[in-house]
Amino acid sequence: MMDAMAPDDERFRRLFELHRRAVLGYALRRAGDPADAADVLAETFLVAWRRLDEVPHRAQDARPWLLAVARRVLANQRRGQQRRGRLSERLGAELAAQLAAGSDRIDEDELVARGLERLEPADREMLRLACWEGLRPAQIATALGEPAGTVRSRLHRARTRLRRELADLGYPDAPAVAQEERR
Amino acid sequence: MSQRLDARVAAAAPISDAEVHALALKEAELELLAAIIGEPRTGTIPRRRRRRALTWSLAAAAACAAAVIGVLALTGSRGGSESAFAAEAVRVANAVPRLLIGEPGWKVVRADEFRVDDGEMTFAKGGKRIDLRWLAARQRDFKTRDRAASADRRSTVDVLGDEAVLFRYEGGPPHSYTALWVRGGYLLELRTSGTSRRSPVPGAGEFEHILRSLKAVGVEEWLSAMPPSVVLPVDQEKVVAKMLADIPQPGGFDARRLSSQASVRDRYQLGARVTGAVSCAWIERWVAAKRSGDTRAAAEAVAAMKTSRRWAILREMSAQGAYPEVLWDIADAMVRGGRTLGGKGPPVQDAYRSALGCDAFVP
Repeated sequence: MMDAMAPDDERFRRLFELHRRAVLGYALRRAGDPADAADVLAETFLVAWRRLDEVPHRAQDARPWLLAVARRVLANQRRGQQRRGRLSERLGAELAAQLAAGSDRIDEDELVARGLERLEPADREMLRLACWEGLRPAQIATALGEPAGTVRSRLHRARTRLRRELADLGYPDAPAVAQEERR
Repeated sequence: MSQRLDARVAAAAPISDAEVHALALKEAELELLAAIIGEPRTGTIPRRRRRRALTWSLAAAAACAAAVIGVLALTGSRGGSESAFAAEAVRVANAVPRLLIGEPGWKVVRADEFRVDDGEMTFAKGGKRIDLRWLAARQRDFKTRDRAASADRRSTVDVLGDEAVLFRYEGGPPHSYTALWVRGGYLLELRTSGTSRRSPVPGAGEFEHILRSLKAVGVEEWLSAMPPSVVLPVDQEKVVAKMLADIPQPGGFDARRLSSQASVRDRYQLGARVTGAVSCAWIERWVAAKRSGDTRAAAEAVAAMKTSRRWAILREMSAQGAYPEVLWDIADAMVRGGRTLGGKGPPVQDAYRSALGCDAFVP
């Protein structure tokens, strides 16, 4: 019976191998501090380990499931109800060292980032999940824990709002981007 | 339509996927992976199992529990002499710290998953539950750091001459408590175990009192304290036969493999194994019959699963967990020829294996 644990270990290793950077990317793009991002990664996979039976088997379903967990971990972290775990200490330190070089974001990206910041949080997260994490609407629904039927229309609305914000901010390519809306 | 805008948004990400993938973190990630896998998963399955929510994973978890855990082998009758217990059970009992709660009224209600290097038992009294866990002592530093990081107050308490560190989690109300200490090469953890927000949990004073009341007992007393829901290997064949008495089985179904493993099983888990194995066999036939257009075979499977609401073991189990509800939902979906979860979920053929944990029943 003891080696009955082995398939779980193996499955978890594969899950970690396949999705660790996706979860880390998700966390790094949202957490202010690399150590916080490392903590989100650690907590998310700790939850996945403890609830492995609930993690969908197909990779395209597992990723939004993991991001849904990461989202809750991040929210708890922001509410300050959870202190940082020590599982991720080394990872956090190495991340911080590697990311210390700073961002080489160009002005145009800065403007889009400002446009995103001006959106309602729900619209912003919808767009980030679609564009940053590359999730499809059904996966976004899983990650946000919302009905799949509403995601497409909300995503469309979020894009429309972002276009308006970009136009207001004097985005250099605003007319071209706005044109897409009319197509 | 929106590719251009999406590309702009993607470019504005603080860090791109390619940059994330280029980070040199392999060793730190491997260390994290090892630390997570070193974390016990025990305790989570029974708690989830007893929640009532109708979800697939719950049922699968309950069913898989029997396959994944249950290492202690006992034979003979409880309350008998030490020699009545199987050698493996005595080996475990000899090795681990045998502690019981000395406060009156606390009984072991769950002890279905333990072995020499990692184990857990749940004590209960009047709806309150406390878990006692043991792990190899080398995990102490990691555990202590981990608990200290997520808990808010700490003090020390003397437990049988060893110093236990007491943590309080603020994640309530109610607050929960955990104590960690080392005894005889083992790291021990006693912690409150709420099954839901409404479950009563011991307060700070009571928890400390219970901690101080822990007593070390002999092998025989410890093994005799196992809960009555534990089905010993020697009884399993008889118990399985009784469970199967009102359950129609498909031709060629081999019931012997259900009780062939020499391990302790909780009655709920054994019930899930028995009803799950029979149901999986019926549903498998039903799926094949539908595919091949064998209406007679499909109808036979539906008729068999239709009786599941009357299976005595499922009715008994339904007071403890969600496995019967999940199984009945699938049976209902077969009758309707459609979807699970009351018609809103996936079709039976896509859902039943993970829902019932069919893969765990493969001999």
